[in-house]
Amino acid sequence: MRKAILTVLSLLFLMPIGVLILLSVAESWRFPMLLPQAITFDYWKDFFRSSGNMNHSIGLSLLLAVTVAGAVTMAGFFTSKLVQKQENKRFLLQLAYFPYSFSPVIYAFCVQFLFLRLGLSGTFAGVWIAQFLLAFPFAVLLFSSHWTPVLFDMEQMVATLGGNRWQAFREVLFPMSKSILMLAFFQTFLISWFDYGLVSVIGVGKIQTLTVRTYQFVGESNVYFAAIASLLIIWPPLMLWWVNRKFIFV
Amino acid sequence: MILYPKRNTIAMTFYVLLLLLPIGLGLLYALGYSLGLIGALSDGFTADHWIKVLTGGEFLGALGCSAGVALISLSVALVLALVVVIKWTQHKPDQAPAILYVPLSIPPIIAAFIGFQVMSNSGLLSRWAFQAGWITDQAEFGPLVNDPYYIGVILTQVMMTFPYLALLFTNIYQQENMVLLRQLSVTLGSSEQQIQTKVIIPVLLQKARTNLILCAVFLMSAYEIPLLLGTQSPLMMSVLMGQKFKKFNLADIPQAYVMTVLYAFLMIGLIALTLRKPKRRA
Repeated sequence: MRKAILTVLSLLFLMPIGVLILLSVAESWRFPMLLPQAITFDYWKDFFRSSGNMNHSIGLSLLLAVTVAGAVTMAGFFTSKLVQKQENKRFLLQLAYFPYSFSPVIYAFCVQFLFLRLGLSGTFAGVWIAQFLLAFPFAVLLFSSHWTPVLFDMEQMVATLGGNRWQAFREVLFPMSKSILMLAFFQTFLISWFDYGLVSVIGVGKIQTLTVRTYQFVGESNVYFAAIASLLIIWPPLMLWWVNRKFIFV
Repeated sequence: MILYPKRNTIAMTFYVLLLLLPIGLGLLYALGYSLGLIGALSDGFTADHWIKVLTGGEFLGALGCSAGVALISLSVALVLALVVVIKWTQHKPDQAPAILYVPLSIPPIIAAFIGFQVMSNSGLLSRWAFQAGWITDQAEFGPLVNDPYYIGVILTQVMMTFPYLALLFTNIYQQENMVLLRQLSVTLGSSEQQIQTKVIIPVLLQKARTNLILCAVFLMSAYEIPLLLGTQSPLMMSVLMGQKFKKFNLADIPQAYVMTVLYAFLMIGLIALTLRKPKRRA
């Protein structure tokens, strides 16, 4: 039964990635052929050469995702610690669910005017702030289960022994929180990396991340470039997942 | 020395403002715009836009469509996840199949693109059907994308949701020590079916309740998948709002804001209901 489940799931989930790989190298793939008639790597070459600053889009997406994830992880870590110390922590944590009442695109429509008024619409800073606002509550919720009385007691022990806040963080909190910090970084990286709704509304087409470019390729019926852009988007999360399983949570 | 004070009012005020201020201001602006109090077309207070939206049928149609698609997607994904977890944990209760993480690496926009490549008339499924001799022309392959019943959207959402639910259930299975509960049930003479229906499934569903409702909210508000795989009538909620906001017809914008306010309060209410403290039984 285990093997049967694994086989079915593998077929179900690896087939789509196989389709993307084949599409990205298919010279022609007419109906009703199950496989492309000829293979070429020209699309890959053209993609980076002539499809209008793809390297810029990759760099932009990476810069957004890494900086948003870094900032959100640190802000979420310390905020959730403070929230845990409050008497009304249950209510404060429930507030973090509030932005998730909306999909990113509806959230973006709601806050769009604010960004327009502040001159942030269509700018990198605007998209960065919008993604931060949406990813931050997620990080707070993720860290909320991490703060146990034992962790607080250990931190307090550092203070009793004469240590300061920085020493408590460096010697106790950080080593004990490494795994969840990495997890939060990965997860918030993905929120930004996968985002289409916020970046399309707040970025108003000026911030051309990989997801925005992918949608453009799909709209232009350029399935070959859309497949390459898709593979570029799903490659980092798959790598992160592998690194996560192999080196962090084993 | 106490490293952190018990209360930190300034930091918590900032935290609350960060969560509520942008969206709160956004909703106030939307309300003002929808009532004709602000905006490019403002002519003073009017309830016309609200009446148009509430009586026009478009909003309610989109709401019904979104709720229907979300409920069907969630139900199918739930059943599949339960089947996989129950069967899998009989043999390996401590770890979920690693392959379940793969679909979590695929964002909705790419899932929709893949869905189109697999389920369209010239897609992979249609090619298999042709090779198997079930169809003789691609036009004979039933419409699975951009179809009026949202089959393509539902299937794609199921593929995105069921691995997440399966991982969630596996996690709960371990946290709730279900292996011991299972052994206890066997000792007390329960059959395998009774263990599944009276012990495992109720515990999993109860513990995953909040996540399931949040999942339904996300599925209802889905944008990229119905945008690429859905149909023009009826539209799903986010797509309808997107169209109203992005259209060049300025007269549509107040209606878009009415929909935003209505939908936002509906979803906030749903989430608030989900998160409220369960009443203790006497």
